[in-house]
Amino acid sequence: MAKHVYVVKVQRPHAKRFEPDRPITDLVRNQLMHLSLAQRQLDKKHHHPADVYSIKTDAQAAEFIRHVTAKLHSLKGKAAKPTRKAKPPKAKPRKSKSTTKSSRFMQKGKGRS
Amino acid sequence: MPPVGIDNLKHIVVLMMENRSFDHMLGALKKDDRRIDGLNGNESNPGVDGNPVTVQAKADYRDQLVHDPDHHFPGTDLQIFGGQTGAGRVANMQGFVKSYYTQAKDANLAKEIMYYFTPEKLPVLTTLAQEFAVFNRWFSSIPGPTICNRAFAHYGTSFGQVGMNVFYIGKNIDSIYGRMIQAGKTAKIYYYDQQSSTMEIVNLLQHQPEVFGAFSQFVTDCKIGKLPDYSFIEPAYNDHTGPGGGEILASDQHPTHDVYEGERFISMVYNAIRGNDALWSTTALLVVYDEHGGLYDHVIPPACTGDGFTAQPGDTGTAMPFAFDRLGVRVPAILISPYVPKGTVVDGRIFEHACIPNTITDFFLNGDAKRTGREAKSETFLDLLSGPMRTDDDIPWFEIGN
Repeated sequence: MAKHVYVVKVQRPHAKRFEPDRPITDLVRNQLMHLSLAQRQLDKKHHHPADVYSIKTDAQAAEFIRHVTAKLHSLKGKAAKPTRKAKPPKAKPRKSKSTTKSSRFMQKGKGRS
Repeated sequence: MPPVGIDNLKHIVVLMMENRSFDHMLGALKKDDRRIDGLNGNESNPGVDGNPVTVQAKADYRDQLVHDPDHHFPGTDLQIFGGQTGAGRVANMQGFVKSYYTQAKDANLAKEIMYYFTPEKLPVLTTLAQEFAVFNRWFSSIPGPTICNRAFAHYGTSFGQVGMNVFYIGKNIDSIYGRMIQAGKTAKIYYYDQQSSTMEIVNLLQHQPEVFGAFSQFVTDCKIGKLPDYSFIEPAYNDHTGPGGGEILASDQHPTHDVYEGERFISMVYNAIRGNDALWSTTALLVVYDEHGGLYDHVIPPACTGDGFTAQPGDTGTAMPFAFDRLGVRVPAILISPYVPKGTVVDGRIFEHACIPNTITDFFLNGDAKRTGREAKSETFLDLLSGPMRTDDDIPWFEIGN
């Protein structure tokens, strides 16, 4: 990479103030709600243990957000909440129907507002 | 024959920051360049005592706007219409102090909504605005908050939402990422990291997580020349401990996050592209803000083509429906490319976030995708890559301190 001729120096004008205990913004609060709803589509064993309504600070939010984001990435929609523990027997439309409904929910992105 | 810049163009990158108005961030630039529709210095809003509160160059990096200014639909309506209601009302941009007083409950604090930055305090944004193309008329898509505005950047519509709902019922328009991928192109959303994640595409994150990557990957992809055709970048939305124990500060510039961190982040995105010569000559970068954050701007938002949706009074919170036929408050927007002539000021044309998917769809997909009438009729911005390629000594590089 060539050395740059036109350089704009930007010095930090004040000390960094890292505030992980800062109260979350409304924006982050909404993000938590959205991720919490997305998390509901996963099996409970993948859920973050925190009650999303108890999250007050950036640090707490970051941990919840990280957990759910990582799960959504790694599970890629595969760990949908099961309707039964056992593998359903064949040709039982009731079971297929409930599986289809959650699949339809996942694919079309419908959910509670 | 298309301009050389478009002929060479292979990548488009959009960085969307948070919650600052045009006048608040770039209004001061009018003093040195009268073509920029910024501040004269005598603009004002009535204070709570009825006396005018004039704009002041007192915006600072932090410790201001501690009560997050209202930027939801009803609050923005008050800001634009000054408290007038009903048919026949006329926008006057006179309700900002009134609006902020309802949260700050302090007449002095309410004045902060009229503060703006001096150019020296924002060396990165100022340099980019002066060196490349600054838009005099880029508006948020809706006079409302983040989620529905960002939706316009991803889908060209918010599906009738004026608030923070992210689950779009009856969604029948694909996101720009879906359109690109279906057409065999590449597209990625780079969020800052998993602790910050993505703000609005939870649907996409659920079903197409491969569309997402972290900012560290963006930097790597720029270095090794593996940037996708279209990239959208999200800043950090919270303070958190990064991998290895490092302190990551929010860089989105949402009040009350440190505005300097946002400057630093913008420079990192710019430098990542600029640092690879082959990438720099084939990339256009748009730096834009999602909405005004409740902060003052003097330009009245214009009408626009509706997108076929209507929000009911119960959703708008204003006792009036909204037909998505009026844009939101003006925001900073800068287009960066070595083919943009120095000091370009884009005037006389109306832009909003639907222009983003429209531009991408037109350029990469020849316009061949289902989209709303509003998106299809909106402006595109690649014609601004109109000049010959600028030389290295004419293009800035940022050396930014920690």
